[in-house]
Amino acid sequence: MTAPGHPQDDRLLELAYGEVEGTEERALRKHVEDCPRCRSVLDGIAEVRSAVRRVPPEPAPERGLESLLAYGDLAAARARAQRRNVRWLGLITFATAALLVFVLLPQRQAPGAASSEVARMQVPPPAKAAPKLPAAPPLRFPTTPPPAPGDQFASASGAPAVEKLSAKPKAKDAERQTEAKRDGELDQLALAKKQAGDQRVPYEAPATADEGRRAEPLADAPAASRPSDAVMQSGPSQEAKKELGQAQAASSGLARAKEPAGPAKVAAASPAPAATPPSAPSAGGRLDTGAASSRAAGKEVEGSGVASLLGSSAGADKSLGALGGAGAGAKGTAVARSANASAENAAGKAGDDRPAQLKRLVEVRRSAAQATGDQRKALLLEQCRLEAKLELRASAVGTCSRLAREFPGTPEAQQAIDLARGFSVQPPPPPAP
Amino acid sequence: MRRFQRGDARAFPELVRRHRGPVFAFVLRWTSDRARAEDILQETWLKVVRGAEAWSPRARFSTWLYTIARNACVDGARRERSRASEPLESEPAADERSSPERAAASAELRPVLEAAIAALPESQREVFLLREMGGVPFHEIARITGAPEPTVKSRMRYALEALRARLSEVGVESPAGGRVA
Repeated sequence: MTAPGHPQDDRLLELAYGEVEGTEERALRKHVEDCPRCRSVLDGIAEVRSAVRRVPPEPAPERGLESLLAYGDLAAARARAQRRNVRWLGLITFATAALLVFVLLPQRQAPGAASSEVARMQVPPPAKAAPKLPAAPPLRFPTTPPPAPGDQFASASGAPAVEKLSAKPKAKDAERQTEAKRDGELDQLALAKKQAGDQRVPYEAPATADEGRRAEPLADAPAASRPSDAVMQSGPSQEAKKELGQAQAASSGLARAKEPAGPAKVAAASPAPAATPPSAPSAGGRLDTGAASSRAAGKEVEGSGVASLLGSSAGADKSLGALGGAGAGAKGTAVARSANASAENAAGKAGDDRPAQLKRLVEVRRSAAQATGDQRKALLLEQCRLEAKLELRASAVGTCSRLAREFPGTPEAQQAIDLARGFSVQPPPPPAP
Repeated sequence: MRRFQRGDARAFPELVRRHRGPVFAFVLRWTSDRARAEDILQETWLKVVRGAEAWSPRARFSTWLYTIARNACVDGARRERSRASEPLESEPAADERSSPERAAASAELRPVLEAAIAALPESQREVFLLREMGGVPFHEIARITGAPEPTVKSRMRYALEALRARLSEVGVESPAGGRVA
């Protein structure tokens, strides 16, 4: 027991074993000096400790020491190897991650790369790769396609994308490509967009495998980085501005919608009707027509209810869209050939007189691409009619608008406008007389 | 120990050189059986090697080492409980052989002390050996044994009183030269 004023025995024990330090140690020692009882407790502990110290510890046996040290060496070597492995593992993981980043990042289409992507798509594919197109897997258009990811104009308006053509023309801002290039490449972009939004089918429009690889990621790329936006950002030619200005003036009688300018091309290209805004600038008409084309194809398939026909029809639309661009732009015959083959392929599957019409359309397009003057005017009109008859809306509107622009004020231009109206589509306005 | 964990081959012999003797003394005094003590010592060090990866610098190496040794002793005691343990052999230690005077003193004291330690209850013996032989502070003994620190200190005090009484009985002189009262 601890008498009043005495430290607890536990404190004395700690003091004896050196577990008390500083001022408390000094205070305890001072107390012990003056307190016989506490000094006796401390002396008793010290006596036992002294007796233990007087008996030297037994030396550890040598037996087993050698094997123990060998075991320790082994463990140390194992630890070293593990550390090396961990280091290598970390290095390999880092390298793999870096590799993935370098491989995947370009495919994610950085905004700066979008324009180069468009530039690549503008290059006509090599002729040798053209026969690949008919072999492309048939496209399947769902009846209610989901909106494309990143579609900045996704809305619940439910207005068909084609109606965006009736948008207030922002042609001066939007028309940035030459006529010849635009139809073809934008049709391709519309197709790519359509594929991305509708089915996630890898885009096969580029004839070469390399281009196909580059085009596929478009589906997942942010809207702002897509080629269509890049097209919008490219500088419009003065000629195009002038032409579009004339077209605006000429089409004053046509309905116009109010809507923002800019990336409506992408929005219009969205395959989902419900995901598109009620209007889009006419500048986006090219891509809009692409969406319209895909929708027309979807409608066609819905009507027929035949899956294979769906695929072939879509393929025909796609290839014909490419053909329109290639022909108008005189970008080479490879795309035209592939489109012809695709169209013929589609025609073969469609039955009735559609194959013949498609064949004729291919011929007309080919001829129109090389023709000039009145002959071209007539061919374009025929092309427009054929495309309208085949419900290739994208191509039809594109061809009609091209005719209206190339031959403003002519009866053929007026007919083209009327044809486009027949689609409930607002064609680009004809130039003012 | 950190060096050993990192794979430094020279670290382990250093650890063995520094701690193997005290651990053996601890185990020997716990078991009072040299052969068993040697087995437990080897077992302890093998566990140290195997568990080196698990060691964390949060705990002192000596505490961790004596925890392993103590657990090995407890397990060994359970295994051997039914057997009659042989008394410690009176084979003189190396130090005793090298110093005749000291050998004479310790030869007289060693069996008394070891018998007194062996006679302690196990709970007191482990605390005494951990603190006296292993140099493990009381609060760490509390962690090792799972007993509250005041309980550990009480056990220690009881152990010390018992040893002092036993030493006094056999007439072991106090350091001051007189007999233990």
